[in-house]
Formats: sequence, C-alpha cells, structure tokens
Amino acid sequence: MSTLFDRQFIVIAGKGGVGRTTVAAALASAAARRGKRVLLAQTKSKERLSRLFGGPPVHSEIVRVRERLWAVNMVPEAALREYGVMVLHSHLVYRAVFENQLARSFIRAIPGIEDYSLLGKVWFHSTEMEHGRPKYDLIILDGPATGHAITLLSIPRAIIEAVPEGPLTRDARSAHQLLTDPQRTTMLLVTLAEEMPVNETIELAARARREVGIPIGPLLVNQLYPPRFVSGPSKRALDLLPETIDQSADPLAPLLHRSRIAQRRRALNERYLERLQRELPLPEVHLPYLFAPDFGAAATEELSQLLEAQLASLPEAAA
Amino acid sequence: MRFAVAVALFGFAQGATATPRLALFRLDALGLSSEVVEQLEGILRVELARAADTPLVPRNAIAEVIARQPRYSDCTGEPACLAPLAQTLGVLEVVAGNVGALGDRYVVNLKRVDQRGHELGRLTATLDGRADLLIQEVRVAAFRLVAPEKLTGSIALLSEVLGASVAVDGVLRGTTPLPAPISGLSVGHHTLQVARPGYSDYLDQVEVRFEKATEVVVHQRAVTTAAKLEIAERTAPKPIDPPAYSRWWFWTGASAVAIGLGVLIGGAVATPQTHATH
Ligand SMILES: Nc1ncnc2c1ncn2[C@@H]1O[C@H](COP(=O)(O)OP(=O)(O)OP(=O)(O)O)[C@@H](O)[C@H]1O
Ligand SMILES: [Mg+2]
Repeated sequence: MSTLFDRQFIVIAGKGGVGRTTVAAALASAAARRGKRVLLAQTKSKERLSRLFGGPPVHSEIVRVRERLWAVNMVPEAALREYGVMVLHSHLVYRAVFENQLARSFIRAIPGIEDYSLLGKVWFHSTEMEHGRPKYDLIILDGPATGHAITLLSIPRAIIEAVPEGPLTRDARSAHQLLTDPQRTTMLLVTLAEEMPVNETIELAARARREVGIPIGPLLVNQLYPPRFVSGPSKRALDLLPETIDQSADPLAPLLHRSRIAQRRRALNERYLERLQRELPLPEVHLPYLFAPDFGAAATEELSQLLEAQLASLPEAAA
Repeated sequence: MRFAVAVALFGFAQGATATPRLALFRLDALGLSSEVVEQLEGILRVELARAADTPLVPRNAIAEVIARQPRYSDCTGEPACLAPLAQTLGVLEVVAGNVGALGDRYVVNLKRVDQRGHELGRLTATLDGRADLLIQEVRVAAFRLVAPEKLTGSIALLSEVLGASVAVDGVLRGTTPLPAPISGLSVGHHTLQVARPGYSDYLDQVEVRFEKATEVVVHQRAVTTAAKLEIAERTAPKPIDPPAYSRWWFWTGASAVAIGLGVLIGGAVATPQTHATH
C-alpha cells in the first residue's frame, strides 16, 4: 500500500507562522523512523531545526541530523552556485560563466532566478543516486509562505513556456513532471483553524491546483486548542462566572482570563474546522497545541508520533 | 442574508416618510436580459437607500417624468441631462449607470451627479454572479458610491497575553483584553501590531470587510525568562509525568477552580472532568 511516506517529494505550504517548519520537522522525523532516508530542505529560514531536533545547527550545507535524516537551509546564492555547477558539470566552467562580473549581474537580473536555483537544487537532490539507488527516499521542502510558494513552484512551467529548448528547459520539464506526479509528489497545507489562516489556505489550495497542478494531500490543522470548557460541567461553571473580575484585586483574575481564552479559542477552532470541511473538503490531520515553554525535541517527537498515527489511519486514496 | 434584506427593507420603509434626496435614474443593460438587470436594479435601489440613508424617488415617479419629457429617455448618464432631471425630481443627486456581463460576472458602472451637473463620484464594480455574494457586493458598491466613509468593519482580538498594547496602522487602540472589537476601520487591509515586553511581537496584515468583524487570534510567545516564569507561575504545579509541556494539569486545575467558584456563586453542582492528555 502506498502512503504519504512513499512519496519522493513533499512540499509543506501555508500562511506564515502557522507551523510549517515545526510540522515539516515532525514529518521528517516520522519518515526517518519508518526507515526512509530523508532530506529536509528549508528555504532561507531562521535557524530553528537544531532546537526542534536537538541536533547540530543547519546551514547552507547539508548536515546529517540523526540516523537517516539530513537537513539543509538553502540560500539562493549558494544554491545558484551549486546548481550552476551541477548543470555545467564543472567548477571551472561554472566560475568562467557565472563568476564573470558581467555574467553575474546578467544572471541576477533574470526574474525568479533565485527561486529557480532553490527549486533546482531540491529537484537535483531528488535525482541524486548513491550505491545504485536514490540518495534520499524522500525530500521534504519546508517552503516559503503562501504566495511565494506558488511563485517558486510555478517557475518550471514558466521556463518551459518562455525559454527556448535547451538544458534549462530539460531540467524544468523534469522538475515540472515531478511536481505534478501524484505518485511521487504531494503538497501538504498546514493551517490553523482560525479566520485568516483558513482564508489563505482555501485560496492557496485553489492557486496550487490551478497554477501549479501539484497534487494536494491531507490538510494539517495545527495548534488546535484542547476541548476544555466547551461542554459539560466545566463549561457550565465557567459560564456562571462574571465576564471579568478586577485584575489587581483578585489573584484568580488571570486564571479566569486564561480559561475564557481557552474556551473561546476552542470554540473558534471548531467554527473554522467546520468552514474548512465545507469549503476545502480534504482529509484532515489534527495536531494539538502543545503547551511547551520551549518547543524542543521532545515536543517535535510528540507531534511527530501524532502525525504519523493519523496519517497511517487515513484512507489509502487520501494518504 | 434574509435578515440583512429585512433590515434593509425595514430601513427603507422607515425612511419612506422623509422626502427623497436621491434618485436612481436607471441601469442600462449592455447585452443582458432585462430580467437580470431589473433584479440588480432592485437590489441596488435598496442598498443605495440604505447607504445614503434616504428613501429613493419611486420608479413610477421617474417613469412619469420621462413620459412627460421624452428627451430624458435618451439620457445615458451625461451630467447635462442628469442635472435637470435631479431638479425636476426635486432631489439633490441622481445615480445612473449600466451593467454588462463578463464571463459569469457582472460589471456595473455607476455615476453620481448633483443638481448642478457636478459629478460627485463614479465606480466600476465587478460582481460575482452567485446569489449569496451578490447582495453583499451590490451593498459595498452602493456604499462606496454614496457613503464611502461608512464603509467600515472591525477587528475582534483574541489574545492570551494580558496588558499588551494593540495598534492598528501605528495608532494605539488600547491594551489587552480589549473591551470590544476595534471598530470603524475602513474596508481593506490594516496593519495590526500587538506588543508586550517579554513576548514576541505580533504583526500581521488584517483584512477588514464591510460590516464584519475579522477574528484575529494573537499568537505571542514568551521570550524572556521573566515572561516564561510568569506563564509557569500562573499555570502552577510541579511538572509531573507525562512531559512537562502538555499542561493538562493546568486545564484540570482551571476547571476545578472555575467549578469551585461556580458552586460558590450558587450555580451548578458539578464534579471536575478528568481530562486526558493530548
Ligand atoms: N502544535 C504546536 N503547538 C504549540 N506551538 C506550536 C505548534 N506548532 C508550531 N508552534 C509554534 O508556533 C511558532 C511558529 O512555528 P513555525 O516556526 O514552525 O512556523 P512557520 O510556519 O515555519 O513560520 P515562518 O512563516 O516564520 O517560517 C513557533 O513558535 C512554534 O514553536
Ligand atoms: Mg518556517
């Protein structure tokens, strides 16, 4: 049975700050646990992976984070050089072509070239072989936020349409085939069950289908508040309390405030879960808000287990 | 939606005793069935009346004027004919326009002219053909044309951090918890910033929609040790097995307190729920 973990390429997308990096790390960890060799590729990210994995810092060189798990934080400058070398098959030729002053300013001026170098690098790693088999079974792209992700993923198609046939279009075609192949690629949308992230996610899904043609997998709804105070005696009790009590006078004031916030956030979560089901009918994975003062390796692991269990129980077609 | 229409109609009926200050001359059809245009015109009349807060000159009154002075029937919205029309009808302003189709959307052009022939405003609006969106879109267009200053909505904040300053487009609007949504914001995008020392800043672009409250959950993390301690303190006991970060005990504790107070205040007698960890 083919599951999400049998894909070659998973793109994690969503609105800024919804937890793309966190979820990508959890997913990478789950795939590695299942025996896959995984490369987690980030794009110009703040360095957070060392904390999430409790491992070495991750910069623009690929590092091994743990058994079967590698990571890289791609920056356009380095990616462009690397990709240039790959295409030209020689450092010397690359230098001659790319590091020539004139050529460099010319290349920089090509719109989308930075994005293309990032995508090109990811695509290249997906084709890398070692000991007669792919070097990585799965590449997870912790992509840029919403609109930028679409731009990034649309580049191969733009190149195919605009650039005359040659090595560049050959790679672009191959990258585009990878991006649109449901056997190999899935885009996972991460969202929160809140108004703005939900709006953006619905729009993002539509654009991803229309403009990129990338297959969309289960929706990952992150940071769901626990169902406290939404029914039963705890709700009845909270409902009986005054809306607020005088802050300064009563030590219980902050507690009451937090309980009410918890109640409202959960209620809000439920409303937007409903809206998602109506307007973006995809299978869903629900991830709880983890109350971790410092979201570190233990929290990543907990999220990873929850993610894996839910992905495993999705119907085959969905996963 | 039916409610909104009812409200609009009610407003219209209420103002009916007042003298009309506005007339909708007509909406010319550009290759659309007259049935569709009539429907759109009907909605537009209701919404214009609501936006301008005045009854509109009834349709038959306009038809009478045209019957008496046939030159008006050729009028396609030039100030030169709308101005005398406004005078004849005894209103301050006249709105006229046309509507055409673009794919499955409607494109409406509207113009607003006063008695002296000054153009007071014009707009082009593309309307989604779907019935559930149409009324809202016509409403927004009507307000944009005759009462743009009333085209506002609000932002409702849900913020866990108390005492954080809230600013919209750089203007301070209070500290959390805000007693009510921030209202009177013009429709469109606004910058929302929430800050409190010790916590990460929240900064986002928020879209404000007409007569709606956009719900924003403010995500802020404690960044200083002091702030982290504050969280730890208000959520108390010692971390126990299972991992410290799943603070189920906080929630159990909080509901116990809530229930305790509830009982004291004279409410339900209840036992605390036991909550599983996530
Ligand atoms: N399930 C969760 N429970 C609690 N906190 C979470 C959860 N998921 C993410 N977070 C927190 O939310 C914040 C944003 O997460 P993250 O950096 O993964 O988001 P992102 O989408 O990658 O953001 P960016 O757009 O900045 O790249 C972090 O502080 C992270 O610890
Ligand atoms: Mg990130």
